[in-house]
Amino acid sequence: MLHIKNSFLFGITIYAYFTIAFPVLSAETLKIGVLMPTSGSGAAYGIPAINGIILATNEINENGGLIGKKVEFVIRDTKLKPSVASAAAKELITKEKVQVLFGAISSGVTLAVSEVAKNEKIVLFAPISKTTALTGKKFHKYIFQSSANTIIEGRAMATIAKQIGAQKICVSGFDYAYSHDLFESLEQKLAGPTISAKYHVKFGTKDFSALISQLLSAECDTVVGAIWGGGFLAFVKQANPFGLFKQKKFIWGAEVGSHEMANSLKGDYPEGIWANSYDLWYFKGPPAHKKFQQALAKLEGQKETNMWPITTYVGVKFLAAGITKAGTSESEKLVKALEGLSIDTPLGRKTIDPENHRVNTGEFWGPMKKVGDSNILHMSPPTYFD
Amino acid sequence: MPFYVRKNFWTITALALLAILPLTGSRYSIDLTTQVLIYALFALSLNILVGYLGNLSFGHAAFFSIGGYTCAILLTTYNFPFLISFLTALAFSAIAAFLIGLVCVRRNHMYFAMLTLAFGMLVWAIALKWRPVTGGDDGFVGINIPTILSNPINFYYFTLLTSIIATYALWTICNSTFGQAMIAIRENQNRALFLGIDTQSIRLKAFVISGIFAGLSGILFALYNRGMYPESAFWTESGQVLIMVLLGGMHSFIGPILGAIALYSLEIFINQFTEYWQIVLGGILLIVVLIAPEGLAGGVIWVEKNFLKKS
Repeated sequence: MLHIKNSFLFGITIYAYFTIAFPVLSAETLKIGVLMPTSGSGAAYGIPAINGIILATNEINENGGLIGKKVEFVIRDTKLKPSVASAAAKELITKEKVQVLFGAISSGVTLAVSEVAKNEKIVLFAPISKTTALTGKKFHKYIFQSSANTIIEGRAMATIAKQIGAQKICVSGFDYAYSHDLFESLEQKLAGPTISAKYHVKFGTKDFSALISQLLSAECDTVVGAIWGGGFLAFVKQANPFGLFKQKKFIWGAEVGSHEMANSLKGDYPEGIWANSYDLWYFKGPPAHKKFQQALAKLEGQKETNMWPITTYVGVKFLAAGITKAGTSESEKLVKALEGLSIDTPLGRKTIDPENHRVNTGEFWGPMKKVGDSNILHMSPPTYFD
Repeated sequence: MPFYVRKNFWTITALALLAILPLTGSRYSIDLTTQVLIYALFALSLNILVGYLGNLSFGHAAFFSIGGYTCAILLTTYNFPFLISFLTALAFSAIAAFLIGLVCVRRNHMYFAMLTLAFGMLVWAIALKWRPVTGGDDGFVGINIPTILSNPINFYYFTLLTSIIATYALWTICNSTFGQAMIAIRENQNRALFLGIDTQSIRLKAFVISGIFAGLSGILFALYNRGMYPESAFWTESGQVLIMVLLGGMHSFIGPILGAIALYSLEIFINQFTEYWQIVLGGILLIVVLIAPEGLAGGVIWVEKNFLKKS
């Protein structure tokens, strides 16, 4: 029979081996805990997003750090799972002793991390998740949201719907907070056109055959979508043979107008759909944008940079400005410093609303068109909605 | 030293160490041990089916999530008192296990496993689609827990006490006549039937017991995370806990505890350095199945036989 003694000794040994490690919190270092998906389908977002953090952190450290300390970030993979992200956030706080949390991607995941931030009384800066639930019904004083939220995105969609003469609209998105909040906002802002049908698909699905059939037979003249990432790529590839994009007008959020999305689909990208993007490397913007793009191009080793870095870059810059203003990373003082804070970003001056902790971040919207000889579509012309 | 203390010296030592863990002042150790205790209880509950009864279940996460969601909803949506929410969640897990078990125990082997998988996915689909109640894909976030349990040390002691009571109860069940009947069914169901054991009844009871303790671990999980998520009902969660049982050793009572400690600690540890945890997990599974089918517990016995007793 198995002896309790040896099992006990064995159990405690493996537990100790894998878990007892004491990172030393240097007085000279300011640690930011980053929660991003770096594996699986979310890696396509998480890894470029981390580039923005690297860029901002390098700039901060080259200028002497923050409040006399070097900034260091510790990354954990959320795997796009709320429970994994929640456990990782606790580990970052209790073991790595991070002073601030930064992330995540996907509304459900960020809501889970936000719950940790609330209970641990630590600031969470959310640069990408758009759900207004974060800073609405699940608001707490430690959460800050610098992404373009669903109110801004829904308002832009409603404006575009009117502009392109939509009458009856079908909406479709993943069945989770972001899509629900977005379509609710769209419905509130629509003046004239009406939503005739809503089609929600399982989060993360890649099989859109049923949705395509529903959209083909739907009576709407315009489709407003919010399926993102690999989901959008799969949807386009599956819908193209049915000629869906030629039968109806399309307005698609969730940043499918980004260069990386256009590059992934190349000639398959449906020409003429209205899409959005946080940033466009080909946008002829202010000098600050040009400078940011040059630095990012150097970091990424390509002129055609990704869209996600600007979100995290701006987020880290807000945090840095907040910590500098507060003179500390201590949560209560940092919250006070961040409320109402304004900073200059590559896309203009942005402010944190002191009431709901949202930043007035906008996005570029425009029709996707073929430009020149390239088979990678561009947003032309891009208009900034905020 | 009294005989009772001498006989249970190492168990008492383990409990004493767990009891004084908060004195180390390490929040990380307290949090991690709380999580390991929850998963150890979850693995122990599955081992009733897999290790003692010999029935493979791919849907055990269903009871874990039923317990967690029920407690979360009662506490937060309906503002029920903690004790009532806790006990009702256990009762829901038991009822669900009874109803699902009624169907599943009518079949054996592969068909039993497939039925548990089907019911597991059914529960997952409900958690995902019943958005107004469960929060859908976003999960049920922001559970109201009693103020006393919001302190991590208090919650650790609560989890520890619950785990000790549950483990003792499971130990008693596994070492009773009922436990022997389960092993008899595992070894040869037809022979057990001919010996007069009501195999259907024993299997159903074991299924319900297993479901109750899985529900209990789900309740602890929900309270600890202040949230419950549909992924906790997905078949991969059932697969994860099954790997804990296999890794620890399914033919030993203590094996699933070792499996939970090893797998969960290893996952946390690996995730700090690389995102390729799934590759490590696959490797572990290969080693366990091909080289060490009796798991870590089997490895400890092997060391005992070959080294410790000779010396």
